[in-house]
Amino acid sequence: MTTARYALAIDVGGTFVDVTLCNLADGRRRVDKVLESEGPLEGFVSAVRRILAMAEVPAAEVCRVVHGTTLSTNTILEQSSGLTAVVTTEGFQDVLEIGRHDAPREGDINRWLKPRRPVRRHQILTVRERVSYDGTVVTPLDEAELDRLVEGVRALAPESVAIVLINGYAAHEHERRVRDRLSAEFPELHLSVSHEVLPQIGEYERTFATVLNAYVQPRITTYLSALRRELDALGVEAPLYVMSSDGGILSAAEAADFPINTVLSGPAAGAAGATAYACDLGFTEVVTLDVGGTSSDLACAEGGRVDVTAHGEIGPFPIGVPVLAIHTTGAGGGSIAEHAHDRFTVGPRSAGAQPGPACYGGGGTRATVTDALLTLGWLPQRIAGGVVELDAGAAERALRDTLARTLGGTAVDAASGVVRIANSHMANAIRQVSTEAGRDPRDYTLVAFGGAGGLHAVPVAQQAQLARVVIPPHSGVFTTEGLLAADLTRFFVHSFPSLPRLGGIDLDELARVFDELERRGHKWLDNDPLVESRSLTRLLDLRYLNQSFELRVRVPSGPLTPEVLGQAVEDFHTSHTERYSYAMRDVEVQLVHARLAVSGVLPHPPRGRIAGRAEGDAALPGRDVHFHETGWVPARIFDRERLAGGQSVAGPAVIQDYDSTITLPPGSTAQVLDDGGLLVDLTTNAGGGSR
Amino acid sequence: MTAAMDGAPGRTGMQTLDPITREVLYSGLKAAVREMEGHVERTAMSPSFKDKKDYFVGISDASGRLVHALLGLSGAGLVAPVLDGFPTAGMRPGDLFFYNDPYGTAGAVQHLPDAVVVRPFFDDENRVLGFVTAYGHVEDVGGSQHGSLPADATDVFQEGTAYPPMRVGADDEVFDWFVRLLRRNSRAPELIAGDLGALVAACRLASERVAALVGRYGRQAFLDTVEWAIGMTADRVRRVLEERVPDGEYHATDRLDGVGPDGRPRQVVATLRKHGHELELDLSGTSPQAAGPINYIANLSGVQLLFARNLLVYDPLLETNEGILAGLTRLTTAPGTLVDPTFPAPIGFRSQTKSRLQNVLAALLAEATGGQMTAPMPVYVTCSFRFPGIPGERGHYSDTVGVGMGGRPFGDGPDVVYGIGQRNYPVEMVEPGHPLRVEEYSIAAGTGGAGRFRGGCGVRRRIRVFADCVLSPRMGNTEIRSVGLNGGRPGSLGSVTIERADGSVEAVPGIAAAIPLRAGDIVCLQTAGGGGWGDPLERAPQEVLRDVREGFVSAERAWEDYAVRIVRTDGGPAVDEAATAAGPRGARDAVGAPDGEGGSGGAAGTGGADGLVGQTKERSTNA
Repeated sequence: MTTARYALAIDVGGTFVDVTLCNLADGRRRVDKVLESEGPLEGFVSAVRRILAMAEVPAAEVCRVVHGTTLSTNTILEQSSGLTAVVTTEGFQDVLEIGRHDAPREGDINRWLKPRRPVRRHQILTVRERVSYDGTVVTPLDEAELDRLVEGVRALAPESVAIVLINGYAAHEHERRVRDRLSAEFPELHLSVSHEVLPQIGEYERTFATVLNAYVQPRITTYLSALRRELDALGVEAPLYVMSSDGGILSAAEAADFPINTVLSGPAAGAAGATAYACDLGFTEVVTLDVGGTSSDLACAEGGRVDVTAHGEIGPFPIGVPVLAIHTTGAGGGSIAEHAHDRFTVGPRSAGAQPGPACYGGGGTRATVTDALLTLGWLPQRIAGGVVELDAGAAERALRDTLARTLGGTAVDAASGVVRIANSHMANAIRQVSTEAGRDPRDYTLVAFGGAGGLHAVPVAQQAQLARVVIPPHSGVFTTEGLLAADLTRFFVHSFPSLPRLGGIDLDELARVFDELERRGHKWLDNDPLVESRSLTRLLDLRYLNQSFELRVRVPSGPLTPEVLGQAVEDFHTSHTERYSYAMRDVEVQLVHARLAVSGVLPHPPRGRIAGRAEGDAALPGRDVHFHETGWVPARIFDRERLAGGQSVAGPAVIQDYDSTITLPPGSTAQVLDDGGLLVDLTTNAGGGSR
Repeated sequence: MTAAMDGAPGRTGMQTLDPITREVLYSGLKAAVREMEGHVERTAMSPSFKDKKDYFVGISDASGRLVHALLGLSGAGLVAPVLDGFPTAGMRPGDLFFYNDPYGTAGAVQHLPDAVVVRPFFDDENRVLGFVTAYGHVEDVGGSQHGSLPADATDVFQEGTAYPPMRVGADDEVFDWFVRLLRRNSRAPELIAGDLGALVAACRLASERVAALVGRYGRQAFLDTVEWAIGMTADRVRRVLEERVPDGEYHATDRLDGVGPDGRPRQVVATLRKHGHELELDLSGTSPQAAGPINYIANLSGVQLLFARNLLVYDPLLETNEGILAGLTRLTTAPGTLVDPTFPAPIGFRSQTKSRLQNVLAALLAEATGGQMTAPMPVYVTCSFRFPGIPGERGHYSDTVGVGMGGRPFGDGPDVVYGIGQRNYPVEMVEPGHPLRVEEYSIAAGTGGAGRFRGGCGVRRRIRVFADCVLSPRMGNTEIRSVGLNGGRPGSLGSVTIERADGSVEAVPGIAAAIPLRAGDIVCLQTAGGGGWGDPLERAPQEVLRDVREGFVSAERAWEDYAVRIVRTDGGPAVDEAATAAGPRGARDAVGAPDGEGGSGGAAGTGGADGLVGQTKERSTNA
């Protein structure tokens, strides 16, 4: 394997397959974007074939393949899987249906309709059994019950089964027995067991995680086996990894067993990659912004680590397993602007891919953010490497007919308003991920990507008062950078159902818990041949007595002494003060989980990236561009591929890449980095903030 | 008592600000409220805050008008009691006000555990520009029993300590004397102090956010935005009423469980009179006040908010600000009645009467609009367990239990929902915290009222106690079924049953104080179903079949209520087309049944039903 030195990253999104081939020895990349028209499998295979040919790299030189996929997300949102059954404790058949018996707070109870569950009530089987949270068997699970269950499963003939018993997170024995029996009877059946998927207290969230896992398992397993076969056929023998929602990667086998961990695969890759890029530049406090067609995704990283949440959602359902905290705001390129009943709104309705923005010429007549950007001169007439020609007349017509007429201004006035409102949605969303968590935005760097990220980045960052903006190279296919940067990661968790007070905890027992978690962590990493180094971090999920939300603090490895615990409590008070502006030092601190963050570091390219640069003059013919503060001003236009490292570009300017566009408002200046990245420092600029 | 608004919310000083800036500013204010919400949820301590989400946050202007708030069943008019006692001229940045006194504030809060914090914010010349408000249901404020909601209360003094509106802090610090006073009068001093900290911190945070917005756009832009937002919302409300509700007089009555002191059924009696933009709700025919704690101090802004929630069925884009309250312009009540009790009548369980008022509001609108209103929901249920021998939080548990919601004009009522947005206690968390075990938590099949759109089902929760304790259930609709609308049938009744360890079973009243339980006894709470919407014969047979297959409706009820004959086959239940056609459906079939679309839920992600109301109205008119 001495010749294998390339990492291959493939992100299969809704419309395109983005692919990057990276030489791990020198960091050189080849990137490509392929239309995904015949399904994810075909898209993946043709992208791999094409980039290997383009780069003239033999398949055997690829040492790892990392994949970002939307398959599990789509399967859940479209409810397109086969039949899944659930086995649960008698008396608790309706945990899934009842949920947390709350309707969404936003919106109206008199209008709300309950979302239909992916598994219906008659597909839920029960067994007579009950185990207490401390492991005491209250009602034994006898063999006759299991026989009855087997018949029930046989009658339903599901493709997969989720096994979730009450208190199964703490006492595993009955869940194991159900699993063993079913797997003996039905060897082909996919089984998901709650204490393996999400070993945490709270029956509804654990049930949903296990059910969703079971629900997507058949499709993901088939898909990943097919990918493996196709890679083998192409001569790529390197291991296949799948991006996980928590910013790490999983082996293909593990992704097939626990596909619930891949529901935010693509967005997580983007957020993690953007953070890794900023860290390379020395900025560890980061807000990431990915502007897409219907919405924008944001995440926040502190100390180089992206926020992780246990409260993630997919559609109307909880995910339960830890995921990167990615916030979505309904403002993207296709968001429709409306002026009706004295309201001027942008999104959440979107023109989507069909008919798309008016300027795409697909028959759209509603004005979108993209139409506004084109009308203001922020977008060039041709985008996507010149393939798509935009219809400026159609954009202006849409703005005039649907907005300007009732607003009483010109199409340009309306366009300027659309962009200001879209930017303000994004800035509010940034506040949600930064200030809401007690963070000072002035310490943060905005890393913007996606085809339209660079159009909004500078005015949005100004409005949200961030310190600077970074636009990485190849920002249109940037998600693949996250795939390349990711390491193997996984949390190993131990629950404390009795919620002991940290002051009175048995240190020897806690030490044993961590030892066991570490043993499992090492065993997990032993399976992977590519791991170069390992890191195991001990964490405690703590809260004040009677609170419902935990904060996570680190504890050092080594002996657990009263001093170490004392420091953990101190760190908790500090963290609470940072997040919520106060601490309660006279209130006891409770332990909810002991947690081990395990990471296996894979080979990565050297820092300081080199992009394939083009020759020639970067300056293109100028054009007038409209900004809210200045009105129309002559702006300079640049070809991003030809900008030289060290150069600076002063706004008003537009920098055009083959798959993305960056706008610099008057008063802002971008430094071109050696790898083609752009850095806009907002602390020294005059401002000229776009409201 | 008659209360009326001083004219419509302002339409002065408008049009000075461009439509873009005001949208940007308003969305900034909304973001501040959202941020406050998350802050309270993550830091509060009382279970009713943190798990049930029984709290409210909002921003008001200098005159106390709501600028934006989290939508709830309470929360309008929270600033007025502070303004009554404290002129804005004397307020300083960092001042904190507090109250929980229902009678002292004419019903701004409606029972004593609801604790309100109000904090003014200022412009750069130290003029009060508005207020941030936050309240939550705290664990205990004293009175005769833990939780401050004794079922046997005969006056409000037994329900806890009343704190009239007071200035309780300066420079964003709560005065030490007040914290000591509050703690001293609570059985849960840590919780109440923690909750106060959470409310104060959230108010401070939102004040900072608003100050930053005002700093950026200026005082005048803020004022203009407030006027625009309130005026624009009020206009929308008036338009809805103009289009939907013809001038005239409408009547509705809804009964509570039990009989009043006069020996007659307890009921909320309402008349709605509409004349142009004047809309008066007259509740003066309501039953005399109760000796027990089900009385509800109805005030104009509180009832306006309840009314406004119904209007959201017609226009989901109404903003939650003073403008949404503009629909109802006058409230008339008679002193000494359930909705206008005379001090010191007890009020702890006011939701029993308040929910009947919600029902009559829905019924009035249904009458005025030809049935186009969501059927009301039964009142939500709580049930408290006190273990005299067990100290601390372990010895007290208050369960919250959902009910079935009413059918909508465009879809089925959801099953098992508690009030608004308030969550259940996970079964797995009850057990480690208290000497209790939940032995069953399942949907009470068949309890939803029949209708073209079915009412939601209630729930069955069976709880075993492991130590002697006393039980205080609070469940409505154990005698009076929650009504359906537009031809929909009422939901089933709820019940509280005790299964004694010796095998005997006894039914107890829905509202009762301190029923003794022995270790090993089981309490079975089965809650009421929501009423249906529309004629059950118009429900598509395939939807009835689906309900039977999934166990929401039995095959027997499918025939009796829906006239759909379901038979068992090897492939599961199926519709017997011939038998169905031979029944009542066939008899009326010349008219033609509606198509099979538009039942409940739809695909995952269906969160609402914009625009469907009008569409359904047309369909049902044709049918």
